[in-house]
Amino acid sequence: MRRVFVKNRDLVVPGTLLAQGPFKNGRGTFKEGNRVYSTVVGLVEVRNDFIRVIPLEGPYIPEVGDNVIGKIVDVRFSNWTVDIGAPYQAGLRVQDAVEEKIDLVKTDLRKIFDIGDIIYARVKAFNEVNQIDLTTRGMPFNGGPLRGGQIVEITPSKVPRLIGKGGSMINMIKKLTNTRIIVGQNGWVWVNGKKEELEKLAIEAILKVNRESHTQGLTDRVKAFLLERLNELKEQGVIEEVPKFEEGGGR
Amino acid sequence: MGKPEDIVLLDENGYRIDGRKKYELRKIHMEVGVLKNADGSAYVEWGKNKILAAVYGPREIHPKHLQRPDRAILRVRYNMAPFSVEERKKPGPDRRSVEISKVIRGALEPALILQLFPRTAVDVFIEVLQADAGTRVAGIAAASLALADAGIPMKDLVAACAAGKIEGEIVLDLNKEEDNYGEADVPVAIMPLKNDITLLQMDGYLTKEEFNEAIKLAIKGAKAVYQKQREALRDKYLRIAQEVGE
Repeated sequence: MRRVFVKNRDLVVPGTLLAQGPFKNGRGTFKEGNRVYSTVVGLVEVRNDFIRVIPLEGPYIPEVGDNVIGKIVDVRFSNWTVDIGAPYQAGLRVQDAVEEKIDLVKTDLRKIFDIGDIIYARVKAFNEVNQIDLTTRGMPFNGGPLRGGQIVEITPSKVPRLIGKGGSMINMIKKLTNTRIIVGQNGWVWVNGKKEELEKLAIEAILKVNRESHTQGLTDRVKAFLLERLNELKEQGVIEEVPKFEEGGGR
Repeated sequence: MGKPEDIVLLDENGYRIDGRKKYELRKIHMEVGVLKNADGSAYVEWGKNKILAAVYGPREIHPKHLQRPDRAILRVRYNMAPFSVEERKKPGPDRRSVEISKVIRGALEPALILQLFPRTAVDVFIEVLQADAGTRVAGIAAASLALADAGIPMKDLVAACAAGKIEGEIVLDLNKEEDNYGEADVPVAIMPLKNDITLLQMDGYLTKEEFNEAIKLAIKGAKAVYQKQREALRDKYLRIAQEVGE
């Protein structure tokens, strides 16, 4: 006997009774007896016998294989310490950052990544004692450092929303604002525009997605928002032409 | 403390000094997500009480010996602003606020699933901007909202309310005058889902019967507070949805 007390995409708060019966419960829930309750503020997702809550706020929990944006906070003898916005600091070892063998005594690691540098890395391991190992091998531009631009923080659970189905949302923002954007799974987004105004506009759009992620028809609204602002910028003479964007042709 | 002659806490028609009935709560307003820098925050107006709560974390802690290898630790700071009371309060922690911080930590801890974040700390800051009795229960309500807003996994929200005794009668949610000149004050915090009591204190004297009545009344009040908390949490997102015309 399975009973569900909520609908898909319902907004719930901690301690809400979601379902009763033989359910598999995912993140954002806990089980007591045969009842499933929510543990966070979020949107319900029910599929057959699986139930979970997608949080609307919350810390980044690393998963192996995630591509993240991080900031170097310390340089040691053979490794770097990296802040990736998780509850724990991450580590990046030399052999995970460069292809060739290097002489640690003769090389200054600060020449590769210095304190304050922004890198694009992959989570290589996240173990039981909460050690996070990163690697920049095989990443675009060898992981960085990413020069220029800004970092915007959004809630990690909203990253799929920012990317959109098949990248529809993020490609639209990139195309319309003519801006380079890298989205980390940890909710850190690197934005680098050719013009200050366009960079600012892209950030506004990203924050709009973050704020309104729980609503329907977001892609169309963001598109309308961007086009309106781009037309304004055109009138001000900041840009010459409002870029064309057709769905599906985004890539 | 002697009561001035001209103060009548409960008049012959059953009305209290601020016009409430015996079992009536003060007006409560709650708002979530009011601070940009904090991971989670809440603002609560409870009668004349004005309380701001902020949550940071889970984050790494130093010195290292404070870390627990199996769970996160919860740190709570309850603080009253110097201007929160009529006579200027000397800033900084004193005997009273250290104790209240401790009992609030005990009240919140059972609701949180701290095992998910070993070796980290969750910091809760409760700032009382204006005090009018019952700040610890209002502080718990605010802190619980801020924790939920920070996305810290919890089994239930913690709701709280006080009951007390004035003019020989058990009443709900004492205000300043009733607290000062009344006979007893019983703050209670609960996790309403399973009716777990996480905080229970008593100041003053009550008989066994009066005490039982006071607890029952306070729990009833806390459940009303609980509904307001749930509404406040949902409101943050429903308001945005409404704004965009859904």
